[in-house]
Amino acid sequence: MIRLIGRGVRRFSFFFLLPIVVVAQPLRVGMELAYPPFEMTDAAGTPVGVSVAIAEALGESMGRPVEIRNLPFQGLIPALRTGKIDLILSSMTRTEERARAIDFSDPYLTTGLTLLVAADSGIDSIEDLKEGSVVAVKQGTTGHLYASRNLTSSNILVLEKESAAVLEVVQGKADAFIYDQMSTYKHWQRNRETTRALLDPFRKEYWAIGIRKGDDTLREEVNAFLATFRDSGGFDALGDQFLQEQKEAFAELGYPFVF
Amino acid sequence: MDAPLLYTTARRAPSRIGVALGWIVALAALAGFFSFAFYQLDYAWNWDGVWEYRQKFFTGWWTTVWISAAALVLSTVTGFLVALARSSPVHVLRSLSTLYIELIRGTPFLVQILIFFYIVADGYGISNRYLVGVIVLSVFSGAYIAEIFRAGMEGVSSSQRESARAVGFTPFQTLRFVILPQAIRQTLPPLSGQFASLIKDSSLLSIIAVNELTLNAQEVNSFTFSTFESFLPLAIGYLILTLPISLFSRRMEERLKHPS
Amino acid sequence: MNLRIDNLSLAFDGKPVLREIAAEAKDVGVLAIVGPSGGGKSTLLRILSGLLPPDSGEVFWDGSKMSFREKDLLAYRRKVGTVFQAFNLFPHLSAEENIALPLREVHGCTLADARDKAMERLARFQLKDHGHKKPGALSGGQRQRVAIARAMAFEPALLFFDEPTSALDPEMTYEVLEAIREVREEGRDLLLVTHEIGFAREIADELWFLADGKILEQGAPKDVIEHSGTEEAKRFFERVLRW
Repeated sequence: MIRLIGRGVRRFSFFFLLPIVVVAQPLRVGMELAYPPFEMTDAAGTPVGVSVAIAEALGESMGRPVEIRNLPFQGLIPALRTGKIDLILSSMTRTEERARAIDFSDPYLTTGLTLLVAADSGIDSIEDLKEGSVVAVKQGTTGHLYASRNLTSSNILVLEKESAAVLEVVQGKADAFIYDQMSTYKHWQRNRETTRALLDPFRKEYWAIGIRKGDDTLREEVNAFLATFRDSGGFDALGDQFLQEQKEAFAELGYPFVF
Repeated sequence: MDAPLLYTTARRAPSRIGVALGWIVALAALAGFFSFAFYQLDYAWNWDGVWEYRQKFFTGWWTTVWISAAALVLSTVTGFLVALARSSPVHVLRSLSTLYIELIRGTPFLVQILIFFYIVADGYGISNRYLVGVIVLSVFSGAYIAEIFRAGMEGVSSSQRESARAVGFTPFQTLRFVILPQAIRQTLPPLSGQFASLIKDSSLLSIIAVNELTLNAQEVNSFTFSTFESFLPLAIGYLILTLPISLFSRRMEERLKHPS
Repeated sequence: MNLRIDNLSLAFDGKPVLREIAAEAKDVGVLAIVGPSGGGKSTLLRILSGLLPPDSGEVFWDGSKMSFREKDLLAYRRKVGTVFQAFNLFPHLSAEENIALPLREVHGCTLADARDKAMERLARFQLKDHGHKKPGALSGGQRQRVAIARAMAFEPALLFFDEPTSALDPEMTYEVLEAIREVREEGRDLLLVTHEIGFAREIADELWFLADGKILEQGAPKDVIEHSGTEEAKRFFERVLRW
């Protein structure tokens, strides 16, 4: 008898929960899953990384399920503007131009533009990259923007993929690759024989979450989340989980850590 | 203008008004189709941003033009020689040319570019990516052109070959006076198609940072976040190159036609 | 011509087409070869005109053996003329150019010389006004006459005809046969494969009957046609001459 009642209650509660599930719309978060350890996939192909973890924590705080959409970096802003995604959480730097097209949350990470140079290139700072040098950049990044504005006398190679840009430096086809601090460190670690890293950022950058213009409610929710997440030590935990090596290396080299 | 071949046996020349009307309706339908899509999206057009970067479009277009032109010439020569090798009595030439054709036609061009530039060219010390771009594009297109030439040559009936032999021509004379002139008429439509493909395929060279039209359009898109406004000039830029080719080929076909 | 064939054989894909043919024609102006379709006539003509080497056997022209090495065959083909049933001419060239081109490239004539010779030949066959036309614009009979003009333009030692009228209607057939008769009247030796038995009887000095890869009859045309010894030949001529 009790068992029958139990079963009935269980069936009934399903119908109670149904409206709640239907009302909570999924949060579609766009990112390019080609940027470890922030945006990447595990061996099975599931999205994983710092940004993925942040997105999931965000979704949980808002009571919405999270859908990660894997898009090329340059396609993120168009996708946001046309409503294909709700947020951009892809290690995107907040810039003036981008802020004209979309809105940004408060910054959640501090980094900067650095140089990965060929081991024998004799380049020691951004100043050395003047007349006739060959500079690799990744299509659509702040490095690309900086180079096209400021390095007008250099030969700029615009590559689609980060790995291709690194290869150009490794093979000596390019003198330097302008990219963010953490990635430059990682690529240098992987190619110690052929490259050097100039890790002191020549331009500071702040990463923020991209939000469609006019979607103010969402922006406020995201900012609220970021504040709470930081205070509760969420970012520190992520740093320990994904960026342990960088944390130690930066401490050694005397750079402030990104979070 | 070409008369419709399939549906009429009467050889009436199509009326000019009819043809013009046909074009107007088709273009209007196309415009309507796209306008509706844009309207649904409520897209905020931003042509000013793109206009600012117009120099990039010209630079990129010009690079596409000269790379395509160089590759066009090189691949035609390559294709022709390979086609001859393919039909030659010397076995080594046959196997080499068949291997080349099958490998190139059976693998994606993108893969060929990457392997050629980052491995082969690097190994042999060729560092100029524009030179590599022209070479790899020619090698790629050459394989397809070789098959087009071969089909054209084989399309010339064997009775022509016999007639040429009977007249006392050597194999070389047969090729030069009998087979090639007739083969050219056969090869013109697929050849012009291949030329148009070559121009479009050159866009893949952007992957090794060759500063051609597609790369530049992508850059403008990155800077202005105006995808459609960046890519519409891109499409037009390629059309400017491919349309004349198909028109020219159509004219040549008419000229070379002889009643058989 | 003096022609002797000894033990000539040829097989295509294992199927025998000519089986150890032996025949002789002494001091003959026109040799005609007739017989049922598929009997091997065209193949025999191709061997004799230097287009195809046989599998085995020998051919003697005026007592000297014919060499079947490609180099020698090329030289031989440059001395004789051949006219096929169809598709002789090069469709992308005008009638005049069809004749002049081989004259220049094979026989070393100058541009002017070749043109004159070509026009002369065309005039002989009443085709002077058609010289600039491409084969596609000519009738079947005209095309064959141009082909004959081309074969003759360099004064060949011998002319071969492979069923030159089989693809033509009766009127055009007449045209072409007349042209062949004219060629004969110029004094050239001809080897003719044909279905036109009446014409063969009139013009030929020697007639061979070829059936199923073997020469079953050879001799003067009248004799072969009216008094053939073998059954096949009798049956063939009866049928052909009935209508």
